[in-house]
Amino acid sequence: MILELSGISKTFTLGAERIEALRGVDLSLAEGEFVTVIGSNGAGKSTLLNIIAGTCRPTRGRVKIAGRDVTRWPAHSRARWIGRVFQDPLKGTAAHMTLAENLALALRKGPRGLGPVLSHAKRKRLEKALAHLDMGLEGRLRERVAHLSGGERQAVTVLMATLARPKLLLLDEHTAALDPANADKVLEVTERLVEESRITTLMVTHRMDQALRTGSRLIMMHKGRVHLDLGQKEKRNLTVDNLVSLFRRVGVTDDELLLEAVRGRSSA
Amino acid sequence: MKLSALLAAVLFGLAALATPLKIGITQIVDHPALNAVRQGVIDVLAEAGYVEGENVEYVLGNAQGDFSVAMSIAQNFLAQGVDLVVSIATPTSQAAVQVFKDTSVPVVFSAVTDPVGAGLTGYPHVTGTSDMIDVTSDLALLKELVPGLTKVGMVYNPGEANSAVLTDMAKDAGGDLGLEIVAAAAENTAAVPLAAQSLIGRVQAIYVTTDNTVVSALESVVDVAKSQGIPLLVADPSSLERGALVCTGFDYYDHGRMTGELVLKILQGASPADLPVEYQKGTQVWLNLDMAGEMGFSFPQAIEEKATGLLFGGRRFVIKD
Amino acid sequence: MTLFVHAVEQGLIYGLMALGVYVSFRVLAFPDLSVDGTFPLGAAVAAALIIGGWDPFLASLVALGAGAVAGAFTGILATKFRIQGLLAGVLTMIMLYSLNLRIMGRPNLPLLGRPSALTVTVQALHLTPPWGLVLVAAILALGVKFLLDLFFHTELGTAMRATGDNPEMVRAFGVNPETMVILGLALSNGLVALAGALVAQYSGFADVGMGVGTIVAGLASVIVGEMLFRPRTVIWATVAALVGSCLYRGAILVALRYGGALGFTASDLKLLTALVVLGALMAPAIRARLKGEEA
Repeated sequence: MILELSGISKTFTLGAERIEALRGVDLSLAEGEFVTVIGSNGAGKSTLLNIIAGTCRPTRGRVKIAGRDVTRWPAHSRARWIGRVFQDPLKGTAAHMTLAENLALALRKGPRGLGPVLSHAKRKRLEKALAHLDMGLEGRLRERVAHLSGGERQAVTVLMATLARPKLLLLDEHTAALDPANADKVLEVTERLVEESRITTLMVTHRMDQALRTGSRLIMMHKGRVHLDLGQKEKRNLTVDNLVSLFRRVGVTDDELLLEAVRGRSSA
Repeated sequence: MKLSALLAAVLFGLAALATPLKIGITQIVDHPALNAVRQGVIDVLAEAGYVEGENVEYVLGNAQGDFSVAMSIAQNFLAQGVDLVVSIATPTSQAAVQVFKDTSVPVVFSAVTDPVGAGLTGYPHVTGTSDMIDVTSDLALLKELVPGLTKVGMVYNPGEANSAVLTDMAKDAGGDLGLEIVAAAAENTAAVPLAAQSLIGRVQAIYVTTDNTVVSALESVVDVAKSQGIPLLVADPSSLERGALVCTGFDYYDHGRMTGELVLKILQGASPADLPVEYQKGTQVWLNLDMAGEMGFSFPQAIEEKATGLLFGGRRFVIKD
Repeated sequence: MTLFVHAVEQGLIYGLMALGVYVSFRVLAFPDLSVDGTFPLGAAVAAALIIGGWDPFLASLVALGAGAVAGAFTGILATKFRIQGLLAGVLTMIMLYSLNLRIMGRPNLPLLGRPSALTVTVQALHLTPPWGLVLVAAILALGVKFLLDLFFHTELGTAMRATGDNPEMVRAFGVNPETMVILGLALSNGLVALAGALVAQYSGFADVGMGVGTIVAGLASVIVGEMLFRPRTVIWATVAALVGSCLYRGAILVALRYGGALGFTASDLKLLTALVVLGALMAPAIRARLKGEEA
């Protein structure tokens, strides 16, 4: 098991209010699994990813990565095993540094030494990796990342997240802020990279069609709990409409549902 | 051809002769005392026939508290080819000596309390005047003012070289006189009131030397002294109207004149190496009868006989010359 | 001509301080006010050691170390104790004021006539004034710049640059942004303290008040340099900082030399310098506006 979550609960206290973001989540991911996560707003998807990554501590429960109990570990200590891509395409790269420098940063996962950050050999390796994206970026290594488009930056972020071969890849609605064309491109890049490197992946998405189409397993969350866990076979035969009625059965209100369904259908 | 060359040479020579004397005067901040020194120098030279615009040109520099600028000012003087430098206060003098140390341009410093400690002695082209005050006589005066005096408070800025030196000297002199000096530090003018207040109940008199910071904020020290009914002695005569009970020391204008006399001697041909550093002599004693009246304080006879002058009804009356 | 020489001389020596401010302000995006305290710290340590008989080169290096420790202290305050950057710097600066007084034993220490690392080097290379000192200052400034450029192209240096750009991102790659900040501030203040040590030897004295206005001068130097060079790489950014420092010192000297002719008095110096710097900063905006575009 690459990832094991046992009894994860998280309660946020905002003044007098208590918000139960997660209520006892159990989840296990085997090596090589590509799991998509959908859920209404407030279902706790982002909180779940934060707890796995270590930027948030669970109120109760245990997180194990590759057999190690990392519940108490700070984010940067777990970082060597985890790759993460956020929704904001600007968040994953250092805007004022060059593409080469950003990628070089992503090659290493541990403490930094005084060796040169870019050598001829490294550059070649990075060029090859970029060529793989099939976006014409391999010739732009010396450009500042700020000059790339949002879609290009996000694709680069996905590449960076996989470069150092993490054990787990966390994708947090990473195409949500992109226009449809770029979103599809980035998703395609994601699928390709994950397939080649066989990295265990957990992808949160708000798009039902994406959730169905991508990956080998689908999880649906609502109000802090996992309500559906569908394997490959079950996924394959579902349509978005099926998913909508499943949601309803779980108790998602019509409004919440409508939003998800509309978004899902319009891009299906 | 030869004639025009000769003409050019003559004209050049005449121009050189007609070039007015250039004197650079640099000070570290804009401050009444330092400005008075400058004026004293200029007046003495003017009285000796050096008129600005005719045969002398003054290049003035004010570092406005920035030490790097003090260096730049001195370098500017060097670039402009001044014939003599007058540097007022310690940091400016150190910068001037540093810049001019490999030249033969005379440097005359002024208002430097401890020229030896500041490293300004030992150069053949450097001399000047020191505004070192006589702390022993000041403390002795305080002893006469307050019978049974054991503790004297001092407010000072430990960051001012002159002040730090004088405070240390006061501690030593006090020891000899059987007085304990209670020092309260104030790093800037805003901190002066607190420092003064920290002396309440701990001392029987307060002594302030030529500390730029404290003198700038003197009013708060006056308040403390007055409310406690204890004498405040300030070693700066211009503080009299501001409420000091007794002022000793000397007028910085006079100090400037003393510097001016030195400059004059050098301009008239003397070598600075032959002119030793001059220490300001002749401490004045000014008594503030108005403040005494408000405090219900009466001066002992012996003190009154020493007085140079009085402040009465807001006006100064000179007794002695 | 001498004016030009002095401007470059001072500009290069103070340029080390500008490089230090570049590291904290630009690379780490950390407005570090502690430089007003670490600059005189360097001066105090070097002066105290030189008067104590130490070799001036060694004394200057120790001063660098002292500055690095002080910088690390600010970094720790800001990261481990979560004190806001500006406040952390101010706290260090205030503490250093008293510390510097203790180190010197008195508010002013003269170094006139004492061995100075600068003059020793000038003599050792058989150079003469006025260009001798400028050359030595240039070699020193360029040497430090070269080392700095090299550092920022190592893995550690690149990680540091990324931290200033996007601290959350570097965390994802196993770099602890807090460590980067502490190291970076140590580096920055080490440079500033070294500058202080050399300026003390250059001026012939160390004074506890000589740090006032360091951050202003440093920022002005960095920003003026940026306006001129618009650097896109570290290598050009460090050039910009050094040139900016020379221009800033030059502005002061120009204001001193010609201000009188324009009717300014000696007390207007700070205003004049600010106007010169302001002119440099406004020039691109004015130029752009005349062309009808956004700056």
